[in-house]
Parts: sequence; structure tokens; C-alpha cells
Amino acid sequence: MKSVNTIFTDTLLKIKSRFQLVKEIQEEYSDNVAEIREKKYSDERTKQIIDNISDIVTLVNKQGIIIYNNKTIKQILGYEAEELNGRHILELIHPDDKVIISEKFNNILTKEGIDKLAEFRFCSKSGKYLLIESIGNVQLNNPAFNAIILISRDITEKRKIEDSIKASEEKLRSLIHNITDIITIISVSGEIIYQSASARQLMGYEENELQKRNFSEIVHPDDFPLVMQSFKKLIENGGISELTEFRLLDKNGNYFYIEAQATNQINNPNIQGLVVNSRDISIRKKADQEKKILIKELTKNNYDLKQFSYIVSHNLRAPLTNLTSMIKLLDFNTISTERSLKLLEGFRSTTFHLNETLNDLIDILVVKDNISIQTEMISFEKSLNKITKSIHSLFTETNTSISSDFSSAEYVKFNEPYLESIFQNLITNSIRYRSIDRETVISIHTLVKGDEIILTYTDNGIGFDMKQVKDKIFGLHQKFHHHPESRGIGLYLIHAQITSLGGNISVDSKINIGTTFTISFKK
Amino acid sequence: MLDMVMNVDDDSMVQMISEIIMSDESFCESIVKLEDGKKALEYFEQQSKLPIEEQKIPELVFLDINMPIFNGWDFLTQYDKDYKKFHDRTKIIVLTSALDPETEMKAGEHPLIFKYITKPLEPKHIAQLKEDPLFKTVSPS
Repeated sequence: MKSVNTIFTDTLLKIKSRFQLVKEIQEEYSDNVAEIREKKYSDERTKQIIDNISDIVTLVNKQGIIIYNNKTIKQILGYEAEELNGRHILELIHPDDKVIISEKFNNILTKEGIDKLAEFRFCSKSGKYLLIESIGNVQLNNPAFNAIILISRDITEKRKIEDSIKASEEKLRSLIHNITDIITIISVSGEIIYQSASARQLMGYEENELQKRNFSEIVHPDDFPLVMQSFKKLIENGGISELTEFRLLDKNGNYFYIEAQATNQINNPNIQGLVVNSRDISIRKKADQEKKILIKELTKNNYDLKQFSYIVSHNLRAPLTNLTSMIKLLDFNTISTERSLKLLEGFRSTTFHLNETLNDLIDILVVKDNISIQTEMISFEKSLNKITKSIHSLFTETNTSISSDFSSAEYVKFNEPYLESIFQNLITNSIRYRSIDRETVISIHTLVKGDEIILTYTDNGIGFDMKQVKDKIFGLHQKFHHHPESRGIGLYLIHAQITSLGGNISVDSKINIGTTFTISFKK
Repeated sequence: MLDMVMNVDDDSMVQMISEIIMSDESFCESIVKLEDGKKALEYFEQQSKLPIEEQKIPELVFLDINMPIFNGWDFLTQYDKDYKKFHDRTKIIVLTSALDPETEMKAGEHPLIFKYITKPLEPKHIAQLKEDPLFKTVSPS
């Protein structure tokens, strides 16, 4: 028989174990509640995170039907999160991209895990296609998903920027490829960092063939000090160098002339060197050299001709001055025969005429030769008076009168002997070619016109036919009259004198009415 | 009137004309006519060998520039170098038919050239020289 005590103990034990069980059950139960609560929180967190990331998260089943989108889709494509559920993903892909994407989709179905990136255009709610970049994660065998996870983002803007960068890079590249100038980038140490494709055309080097070589290797040794000096100066001072001409070695070992200008871009992190722009000037250089030789030859020829004219004029002048001296010293009163006297008279006038001609020619030589002839302010009135006084007898003999008006412009900056020569030549011409039908009247006046002083000289002589004469009148040895004293030099001489000082002379004439000369002087 | 004038010119016509003009103007007692610069130098060479009282040094030299062999410039260079002792006693006038400005400028700058006359020599030139104080003092007349 079991004792009460034992029964009690048993009962107590049972109760105790019951309590234990209850306690255990209780404990177990409370654990489960926490776990469930925890799980609920965790799901909520995940959902929050997923809805707030910047990429679209999509779940697609193996038929391609959309079963889930996170809320981000609203911001990017405009759809509500649930709006596309049940739609086939290919429905919304741009027709042109459909084939590729459907192939891709079929391919990834057989593979588990993360797939490569894919790009396609996807129709947004507004109907506008956006460029989407997507990465797929196949989780068809994962019971938690039984789907393909697509993480997608809009790359429309990014692609636009990329494309424009690409285009501008392409543009720059083709620009550099197609320019005829050679662009070279040289480091501070003189090493060639870059050379444009034009180097090939001009120098025969392949693009970048000269890279890592020092520019001193291709500069002509004679030109090197000059180039080096310019190089150092540019590194020190920055900015842009002066245009420098020097010779470069081409691939065939020949030197050719280039003209180069460099900019210091050492502090530009994209360049870190000197950008040298060089241009082939060998043709120009050759032309320059030819020109130089030509000028040298011409200068020499001109000098020789000048010397020749001086010698000729001297050789003619020396015996001629003797003749004039002798004829002047000859006492005509001692000649008794009429015949000899007549011949000597002819000898005398011929000699003087010859002498005047030669003197005129020498004057021209001097005018043509003198580059810097002195000018000063000269009074028109004074110069004219000097000439009229010296040929006063000629005026009375030929019944010639002069009226002048210099009130508008009294002075001119000119050479005095030249101005006198102008008056002298014009007046003697007027007298020589006067009309026998009327008194000879010469009128001279000046006026200021802009930055010029205009002198108008008019006579009422026999004139000439402008059609015949035109611009020949100021030429050498152009005679338009059969006048015995005409030497065809006077107008040529004054034309030379006027133009040598920057002025101009023109003529107008009417037969039997008169001639007008218009002379413009620089003020 | 001057005692002596030297005429250096290869052109005998010039010599003749100068002689007539100077004689017409009663310019000098005697004229030494020499045909080039070399002859002129030889004259000075000879005179320098004589005792001073016997020397006949011209007070005036008319010097042509363009002469064969030994021209006016050659003469001047040599004369400047070798006959400094005559420089005070003799004046040199360049008488040339050269009209180029270079010759005239060169003559104008030359310290030994007293005057530059372009040919032909005319009575008025001689008249002017006669009025020149330099010759008035030298002239014994």
C-alpha cells in the first residue's frame, strides 16, 4: 500500500510537472508571439526599403506576366505600383526592342541567378518611351519568389549626355584628323605626348609614331637654339608664344619649313604640356626665297641701269658743256662771211637745244632717284613770281598775261624747285602752244578740297584732241605738236615731280579753246 | 690776281676753255695743266723736293673727278696722306660734269674740297672766286 506520503509526493510531482509543462507551453507560446511580431516588423521594413529605393523592382513570372512592382515605378514611369500587375512585360516594350528582349527573356529562364544588363525602351504612363536599363535575377526555383526579379532604372538622360559627349569627342577627333595644321603636345621636358594625324600627311610619320621622343630630334640643328629659346620663354611666361619659323625633319630625312605657335597648357590637368600648332610653309618659304632672289636681281639691274644712265649722261654732258662754253666764248662779231655766221648761229641754237634736253633728262633721273626729297611750306605766289620774272621778256614778246588767285590756299607743303619747275613747264608750254588768233591768257587758282589742295591751271591756247592723247600726255617723249622746241619731256618731268611727293596731275583740253591742268597736292 | 692755278682734267677742251675764261677774267698769272690725278701728284712730289723758296705751289686746284687711271678721289686720298704741308697753301675746287647727287654729297663732306662746281666753268664762277675773301688775301694784286 502506497503511503499517503507517497501519494502526496507523486501528486505533488505530477502537479509540478504539469506546471512545468504549462510553463514550458507558456514560454513556448510567448516566444512564438515575439517571433511572429518580429517577422511582421521585418516584412514591413523590407517593404519600406524596397518602396523607397530609386530603382524599380519588378517581379515577373515565368510566362512574363508582371506580378509585382515597387512604388518607385510611379516616380519613373508614372504607373501605380499595382497598375501593371497581370500585364505581359513585352506589351509595354518598344516594338523595335521586343524581339531582342523576348529572346533574352527566354534565354534567362533556363539559368538561375543574376543575368547581364539589358537595355530597352519602355512605354511610360504618358505614352512616352523611356530608355530603361534592367538587370534580371532568376529566382524561379526559389519558393519564396517563384519569379524573375528585375531591377530597372531610367537611363534616358544619362544616355543623352553620353551620346552628346561622344558626338563632341568624335567631332573634335575628326577635326584634329582633318585639319592640315599639325597639333603636337609637348611635355615640359620636351617629350612629344601627342601628335595629330595631320603629321602623317605632312611629315610621313604614323599617328603617335613620335610619341615619347624628344622634339629636339626633329628640329633642324641650326634652328634648334631659336626654338629652345622660345620653348623656355613659353614655359616661364605662360600664355601664347610668338609665331616661329623653323625646319622639321620628315620621315624621309628631309627638312621642311613650318611656322609654329604654342600655348602653355601645363596647368591644364587634361593636357599638362605645351600645345604646338604648326603649319607647313615650305611653299611660301620657297616663294619668299624666289622673291628675294628676284628682288636682289632687280635691285642690281636697277642699280646698274641707274649707273648706266649716269655714265651716259656724264659722257654726253662733258663734251656738250664744252660745246656750250665754246659757243658762248665765241665772238660772233669777228665772223665776216654771211654763210659762216649762219652756220655758227645754227650750231649755237642746236647746241643749246641739245643741252636743255640733256638737262631735262638728268632732272628726271634725279627726281626718279630721290626717294626722300625735302618738302617745306611754299608760297604759290612767290614761286610763280620767280618764274614770271625769269621769263618776263617772253611774256611781253608774245603778249601773254597771267591772272592768279591763291587766296583759298596760299601755301603748300612741297619742294620749291619742283613747284618752280611745274610753273615753268606749264607756262612755257602755254606760250609755245598759244593761239595766234587771240591774246594768250593764263589763269591759275587754288582751292582746298578735303585733305587736298587743288591747283587749276588754264590757258586759251590751241589745245589738243583728248581722244588722241589721253594718259599718254605725261609719258616720256610724247609729243603732240610739230613744234621745233617741243622735247616731250616737260610734262613727264612735272608728272614725276608731283607724283613722287604723293600728288596727282590730270589734264583736259579742247582743240582751239584751251587746256586745263588740275594738280592735287597732299595737304 | 693769283700766282698759279692748277687744272687737273683729262679733257683738253675743258683745259682750253678754262684757260680762256681765266685769262679773260685776269684770274691768274700762270696755269699748270695736268691730265690726271697721277700727274698732279707727281707735280707735288717734284715741288716738295725743291727748297721752299723755289717751290711753285698752286693757290687753287680745279680737280675733275672722272678721269682715267687715277681719278679725282684717288688724288685726294693720296694728297691728303702725303702732302699735308701744302694743305694750307692750296684750295681744291672740284669741277665735274657728273650730276649724280652721290658725288655732290661726297664732295660736300670732304674736308679738303673747298667748293663743288658743275661744268661748264663760266665767267661768273671766276668772278665769284675773285670776290671770295680767301683769294683776296692770297692774291698779291
